[in-house]
Amino acid sequence: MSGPGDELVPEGGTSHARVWPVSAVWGVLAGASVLGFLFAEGMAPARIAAIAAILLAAFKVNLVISQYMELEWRHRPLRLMMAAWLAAVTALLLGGFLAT
Amino acid sequence: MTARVDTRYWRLCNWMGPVFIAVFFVCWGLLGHNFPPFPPDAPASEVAGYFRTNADNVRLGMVVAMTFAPAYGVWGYSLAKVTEQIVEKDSILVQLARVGAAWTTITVLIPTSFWLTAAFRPEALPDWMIQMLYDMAWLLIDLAYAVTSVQMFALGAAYLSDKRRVPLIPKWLAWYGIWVGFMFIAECLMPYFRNGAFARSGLLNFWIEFIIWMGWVPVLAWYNARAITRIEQEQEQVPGA
Amino acid sequence: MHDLTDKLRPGAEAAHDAPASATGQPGDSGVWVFIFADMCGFAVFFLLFMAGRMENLALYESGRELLDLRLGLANTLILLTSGAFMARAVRQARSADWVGARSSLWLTLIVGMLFAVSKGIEWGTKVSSGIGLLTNEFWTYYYVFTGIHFLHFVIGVGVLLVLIGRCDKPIPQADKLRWIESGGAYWHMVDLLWIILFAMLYLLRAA
Repeated sequence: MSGPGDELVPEGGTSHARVWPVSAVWGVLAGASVLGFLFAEGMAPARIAAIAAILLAAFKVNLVISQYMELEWRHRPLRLMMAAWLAAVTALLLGGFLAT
Repeated sequence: MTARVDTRYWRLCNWMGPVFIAVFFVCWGLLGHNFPPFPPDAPASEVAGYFRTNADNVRLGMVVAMTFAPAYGVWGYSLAKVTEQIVEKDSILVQLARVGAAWTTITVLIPTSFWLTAAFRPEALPDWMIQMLYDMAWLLIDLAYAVTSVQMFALGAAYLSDKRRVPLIPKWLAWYGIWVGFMFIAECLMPYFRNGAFARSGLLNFWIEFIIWMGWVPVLAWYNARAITRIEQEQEQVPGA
Repeated sequence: MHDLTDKLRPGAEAAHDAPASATGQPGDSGVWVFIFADMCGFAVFFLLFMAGRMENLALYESGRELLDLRLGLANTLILLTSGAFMARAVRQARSADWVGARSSLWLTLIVGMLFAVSKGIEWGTKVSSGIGLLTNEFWTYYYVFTGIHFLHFVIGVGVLLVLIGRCDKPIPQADKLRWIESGGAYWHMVDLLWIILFAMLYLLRAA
């Protein structure tokens, strides 16, 4: 699919990344942030609120990686490394929280 | 790059980097009880006791460490010679890479002399004085981080400006060096903590900081050696004597 | 957000297929080493904090209760908005719309600077109420981790200024694009690290 900016793609490079509109991404990220805040402010019991906050953070980071950074799964191994980092950090926060 | 260069001694100087790290680890690190160091909240009697009991080992470690300290500077000059083939010979980046390596040599020499002083006649010194010498050495070797950061940033900037299709030094290694030089800034926290991750013996300010730097040296020396080979091959294209 | 939608032109706004470099990931391949190494460094910070929290929950919770969650949320929204403008700048650069990219980069910077204001207010409030680096372990980690994050932010501001300058320079478009993609990746890293810090420091309310 040709379009503006094709001249910037070196010869032989024709792969494309599918991305959402920026404002849509922002809307989802902002909404998730406000939701996490409301949970922490008392909208839900503490345990549920904290778990929700951690999972929402993981969701947001994944969205930033895929939509803002535009790292796609075909960008292995980098995308795998980022996913592993996110999984490890999420597990760390969840495990650390649930252990107390 | 059109002038021919004489690459004799470049390789020998280059391998001084890994030699420095090996000697530093064994002599300063193990013999001198610096890998890891006594935590700041260790009692003075514990530190002094080690120096009195192991004075000969500490003296030996520091004597050899001081003798081999210039090896780091020599290695730095080898890196700078290769860097001259990337940016122009008189580039400020080359000069900063050289002087950063030279400064680092000084900031290794001086603190090792403090540890050596503590081991010279420990039986005659009070516990607190030996601890103070130990502290003084660590405060200097840690807080002098910026001189090494200068070297690492200059090298990184130079390597990233390589116009070759295949750079002499890979871009990932250039970025890694820049990251390590930047990470050193966490040492600014070290004087404020007697225990924990930010103390001189802590997870961040000892284990991570020293390992990421000590790992950088042999890896860069390896790639620098390959770069020297490529420069020699490039030389064969240059007309001249 | 009304103003944000108004400013977007259809070309940059709509979902589209964004051409990626032939080497794969956006930006310079080496800069991702820096980014990933930095993220790993912060992962160690998160580990230190959670380990400390497990050992002294009451201390950490008492510290967390003194944090202003609204300021934390504001910081998050500021960086996410700034990140949105950065993402738009990259897409405009891919379309060779350097005028648009430059404007978006300026907006990234201006909105981003609100983060500095917010952090200044937050730290200032804490310091003036006697809470410092050595108050207790929670506050040590709070100041150190948000401080190091802020250092990354400051570097990001410098990167943005360089990118803004590069938009007008007569250098090959592919080079300009690589610079903007690389700088954008760094800026988004600053953003995503804050997302984790916000959750970890502010939102983990103890049961």
